[in-house]
This record gives sequence, structure tokens and C-alpha cells, in this order.
Amino acid sequence: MHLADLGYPVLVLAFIIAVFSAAASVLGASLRSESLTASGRNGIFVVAGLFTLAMAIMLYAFVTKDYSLKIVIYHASNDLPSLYSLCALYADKAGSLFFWGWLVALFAAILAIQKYRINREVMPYALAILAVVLAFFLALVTFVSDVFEASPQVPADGLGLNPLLQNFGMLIHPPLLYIGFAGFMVVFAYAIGALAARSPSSEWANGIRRWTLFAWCTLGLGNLMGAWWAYEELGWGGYWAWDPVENAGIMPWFLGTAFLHSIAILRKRQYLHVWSFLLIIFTFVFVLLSPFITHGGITSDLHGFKDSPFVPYVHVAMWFSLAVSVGLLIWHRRALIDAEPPRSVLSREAAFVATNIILSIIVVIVVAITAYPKAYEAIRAQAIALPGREWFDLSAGPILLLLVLFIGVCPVLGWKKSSPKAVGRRLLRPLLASAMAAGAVGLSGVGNWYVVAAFVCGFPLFTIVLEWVRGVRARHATKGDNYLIAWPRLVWSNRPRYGGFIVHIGIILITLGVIGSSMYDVEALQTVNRGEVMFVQDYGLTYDGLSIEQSESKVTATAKVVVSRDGAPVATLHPQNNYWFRVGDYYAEVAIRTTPAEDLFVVLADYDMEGPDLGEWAIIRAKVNPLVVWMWIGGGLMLIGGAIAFWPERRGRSPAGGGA
Amino acid sequence: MAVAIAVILGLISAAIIMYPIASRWGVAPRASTGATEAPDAQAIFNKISDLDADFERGTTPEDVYTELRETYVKELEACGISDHVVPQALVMDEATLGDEIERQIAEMRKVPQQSAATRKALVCSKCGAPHEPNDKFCPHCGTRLTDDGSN
Repeated sequence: MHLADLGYPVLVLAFIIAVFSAAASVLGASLRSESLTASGRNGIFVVAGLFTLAMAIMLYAFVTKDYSLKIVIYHASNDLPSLYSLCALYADKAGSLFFWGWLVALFAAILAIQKYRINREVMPYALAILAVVLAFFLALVTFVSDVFEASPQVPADGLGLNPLLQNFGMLIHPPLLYIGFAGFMVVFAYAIGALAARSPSSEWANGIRRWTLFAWCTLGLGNLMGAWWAYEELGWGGYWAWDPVENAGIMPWFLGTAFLHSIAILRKRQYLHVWSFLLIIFTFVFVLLSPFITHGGITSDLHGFKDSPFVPYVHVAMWFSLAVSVGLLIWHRRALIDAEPPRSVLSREAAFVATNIILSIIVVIVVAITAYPKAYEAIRAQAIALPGREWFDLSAGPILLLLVLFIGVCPVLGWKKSSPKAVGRRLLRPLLASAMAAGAVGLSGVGNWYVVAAFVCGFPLFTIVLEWVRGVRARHATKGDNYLIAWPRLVWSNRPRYGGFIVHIGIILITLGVIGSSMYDVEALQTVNRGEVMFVQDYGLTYDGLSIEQSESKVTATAKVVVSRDGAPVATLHPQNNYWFRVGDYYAEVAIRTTPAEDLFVVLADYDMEGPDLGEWAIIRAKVNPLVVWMWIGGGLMLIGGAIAFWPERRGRSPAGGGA
Repeated sequence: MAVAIAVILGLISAAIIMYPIASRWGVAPRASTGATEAPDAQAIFNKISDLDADFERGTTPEDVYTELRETYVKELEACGISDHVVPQALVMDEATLGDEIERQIAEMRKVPQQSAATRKALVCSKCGAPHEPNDKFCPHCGTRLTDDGSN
């Protein structure tokens, strides 16, 4: 038997069961029939099982290079390492949705195992929503475009995977994004399920906190990994271009950030009900916007799919989910009673509302600029180029800086109201410290944007450090912990709070890296002969020839570039340029020298291939990117802080260590 | 062959999803238990801990602190933790703490002044040597002192 033949019927079967599961869950919830809701829940398990079986069949086809399937022909080849089979899967239009749908199925099953027994009111609705989402994905990859479509002929070799996608970053970046997207779908389903079941916010907001954190962290890291991959692999020396697909990944993250903060308020103060629901609804819609943009005619081999048949269906799904969920919100609006509003603008609730507004404004700006060319084309019937990076930098950049500054204000504000005097007193020291740091940076004469960075990043950093110092002192005074052990104990004693602080430090470091590398990057492009030196900033780069190596799939030219600084040699870099036979094109592999202050980024753009002495000359592109490494360190802190906040809260112990 | 396996998978799937319905065949549909997700006690403890920390650092005013803390303690009681003694904030509001330190320093400053004044008053009327308040006799000349410390 040909195993791949089983893929399509398995997916069709999963589709039928997903539809049944949705119907049984809704019917069971409205008739209050336990047997029907249990049947719907079992349907989710079956769909997850069948989806996993189909995924195993697909991966087996890729690993064994089964060219009877079109997807394998288009994206794999005999020389493709098995490790990149997964990359080949989501390099395909239907394959990417198949992978995403499989994650949703797994998460739905995990949610059902986790919460079905403990929340019988919300879960049938939540599972019904997830079943509809799964049915949608399954319909796309079976009826609209069969992911297991057979080829009439079976070639001996496939067309191969884009060399740029054969990179370690590609094994992490798309899966993290899809995990984040699928995670937010679960959060949406649970929140809307709670709305349908009229569940009190004190219950559902607690119930979904860790899922939200998980989705938020993975989506954030997915975006950051994409930036890292672009930086390490693409050779243009940057990491973020504000292209529509990047924007499609960052917008749900901004909205998810606002939602994450809103449910913190909901959990503690039963405030911001409507905000929270609107934010998760729009997060979901923007998650769907991602395939709409990716499949919507973006003419990029790396980020978009040409001639995708899915666009109209995704478009309908976006508007349908928006209409139904907002309709449900309006219908149940009377049940959403906020607790007493804050008594002062100078309160934590007000600060969180301001944060939500700022994040929403950023999303509006990004979506407006991203959609502008399409809107212009629709109105004027004339195509225009995509807006440049400076459009986004100039409009969204200052607001993002304001947001980072806000990280420093929120911890010193209290619930309901704060006295201006107390707030002023608590802000005084961080303000003074950051102003002094900014002043010192200004006096050093390195540049005005570094002064801004010192203040904007210094202020929230000092606030957080002072919060920790106070906490450590209190622990030392009240519990007798020595100062060294007091800090980890303080963090562990309230993981959601202090894990959040660590995540905030990660965001601050990322901001520092973005400011440094965006405002003070220096670039040089030069043709150099063997032994000749080129200069970029205070680095001297001596081109010392190149070596050629040929493998089955490519010819690799490796240049030797000796780097000196102020006359003293500091490193030897080996940038590469590969000619891929299958693609018939050249792709550079950059060489990077990283220090805490800056990266030296060297690309072998071209070289002498014809002379008797191969590599007599080379075209070298060199960039100095200040502070880039802090972005990746910030990403690491986000992961650590997120993991701390995500760690399950212990049951049955008091925060002060007393027994419960 | 693939179709046959798909049919078998379909039958297994149908059995799994129909089981909860079939197992109650002929039994009147039972109302859902209506179980809802109980608020997590530790999450409430953490809320209290946050609130305490905010109060201790002077972020939250006392009236708001008291009000919110009572609400959280009630939530805790709703979780069935009624006999738990929720620890009180261990450190005072920063402003209050500052005032308290000032007050205690002022008190401490008063103490030596008072002692000096008292010492000045508590001297033997015969030889003029100072003595402690509880002394029965003057430590210098041995003159008997009265109960109130004078002679």
C-alpha cells in the first residue's frame, strides 16, 4: 500500500468529525446534556489524533522523498537533509496551513484534557469554537487545495527547497509563530466560550492566563527569531524591514500584549471586561490577517505565496469571526459589569488603559501604512511601491519609545488611586538616575539617539531595579534571608509579577538594540584586491584571498578577511558566497564579529571567478551595527521571564510561606 | 487498501465520539454538573502578595489596600480556605515608615535629655552626687534617700 494515499481520506474524516464535534458541543451546552458535550470533546481528541496521523504520513513522505506527492516534488530534493523536511512542509501554501491546523488540533486536545472536567460551563463553547476553526483549516487543506495532491508523474528528483530556508533559524522561527498563532486561537476560543456561557471574569481570566502567556511569549520569540534569521542569513545587514508579512506577525503580538495586561487587571480588579474581549477578538482577527497577507499576492518567495487559492476564504473567515464575536459581545454586554472604576487618573488601572490605547494606536498605524498601497491601487487604479521603513520608524517609533518609558511608570502606581506626592517621590530616583545616565552619555558625545536610549531604557530599568532592591531589603528584614538568596526567593515567591519584570527588562534591552542599530549603523561597499585594506568606521578589513570548495549541491567560495582595529588585528572572518546548482543563483553567508558594543557584519558580495588567479579581487560589504547583540540577549530574558511567569503557581501555600 | 484503512479509522472514530451518547442510551439526558473553574487559591494568594508588596512600598494607599485585601480574603474564603490566617503586610507604607522613623528618632533624642534632666534632679541634697532613681542610699555619702528618689 502507498502510505501517502491514506493522507487525504484521514483529513476528510477529521473534517467530518470536527463539524460533528462543533455541533455536539453547542447542542450539548444549550440542552445541558453531558453526553453530547462529552461526545463533542471526544471528537476533538479524534480530530487531534487523525491530524497527527496525517502529519506523520506527510513527514514520512518528505523524509523518504516520496515524489508521488506534488508538495514533495515542489519543496524537497534528493540532496535536502531530512532535518529540513519540516521547513519544506511550511514552505508550501497548503503545507503551512496544514502545519498550523495540526498545532491548533493538538492545543485543543490539551485544553480539553486540562479544563473539561473543571469548567463544564465554558468548555463546550470553547471546544465548539476550536472545532469550527479546525473544520476551517481542514476544509482549506482538503477541498480548496489538497495538501496530499498526487502527481500524475513521479520524477526521480524534486525541485528542492529555497537555500535561504535551509537554515537552523527556519526550523525555529515559523514553528514559533504558528505556535503563537495557534495559542491565541485557543485563548480566543476560551474567552468567547466564557462570554457565551456568561462565566464570571474572575474564573475565565484566571483560567486562561497561562495560555495567554504561552501564546504571547512564543509569538514574540517567533518574531524575534525571524529578525535573527533575517540578520544572520539574508545578508542585507538588517533584521526588520516592516514588510507586510513581518507586520502581520507583529500586529497580533501588540494586541496580545494589550490583552495580557488587560486580563491581569481583570483577574485582580474585575475591570476592563469590554477592553479584554475586544482585544482578544481583534488579536484573533489579526492572527487570521497573517495568512490573508501571506497568501494575498505578496511577491516574495520567502515571505509570501503566489497564486494562493485561500485568500477569499480567509477573508470571509476574518469578517465572520469579527461579526459573530462582536455580536456576542453586544448581546451579553449587560453581564459584563466592571468593578468600581479607578478614583484617579493616577492609578494602575488608568495606566493599563493608556497602555492598551497606545498599543492599539500602534496597530492602527501599522495596518494603515501596510494597507495604503492596496487602498491607493483600489482608488486610483494605479499600483505604487510599498511604503519604506522610514514611514513606520517615524510614525510608530516614537510611540513605541513612549510605551517603553511607560514600563517604568506602571510599577509605582497603585490600584484605584495614588497620591501625586508618593508617585513623585518614587519616580524621583529612577528619573534622576536615568537623567544622569543620559547626561553622561550626552557628554561623551556619542550621539543624540544614545542620549534618548539612555533615558528611555534607563528609566524603566532603574524603576525595576529599585523595586527589586526594596523587595530584597524587605525580605532580608522580615525573613532574615541574606541578600544573595533573597533576590531569587523574591522572584520565586511571586512568579507572575517578577517574571513579568524580567520580560520587561528583555523588552528594554531589545529597544536599546533597535535604537543603536537603527540610528548608528555604518556601511561600506568596496572592491578590494588581494592584500588591500578597506575601512569601515574604525575597523580595517584586509582581504586575504579566498578558497573554493564544491559539493553535490553548491560551490562555496570562502574569503579570508583579517580585521584590525586601530592598527591591531582583532579577528579573522570568513564570509562565504554559495552558488546553488539547483537554483542557479548566488547566496551569501555572512560572517559576524559580535561584541557587547557592536557587530561587525561582513558579506562577500562578489569575487573574481575568471582570472588565472581565482579570487584576485572581491567585492566586500561591511557594516558596523551597534548594540545588536542586546536584542538577542533581550529575547533570551523574555524567554526566561516568560518561563518563570508561566511556571504553575503552587497550590495550598500562602505568599508569606504560611500553610493553607 | 487505503480506503479500507480509512473506513476502519472512521469506525473507530465513530465509536469514540458516540460512546458518551451510547453509554447513556435510554437514560434521560442528565443536566450538566455545571462545574465551573474554581479560582486558584495560589493565584489569590499571589494577588494578596502583590497588594501587600504595593502597600509596603507605598504604591497603594491604605484605604484602597484595606478594601481590596478584604475582597481578596473573601475570594479565598470562597475557595474553602476560611480558617487560613492571611498574613498581614510585614512592612509599613514607605511614607508611614518614614514618619515612624522620624518619630522614633525624635523619641530617642528626647531620652538622653530627659535622663540628664532627671539626673540633674536626682542628686543627693547632702553631698550633691548624682544617683539612680531606684537607689535607697546615696552611693557617695550613704545618706538615706526617700522612695521618690529625693532625700
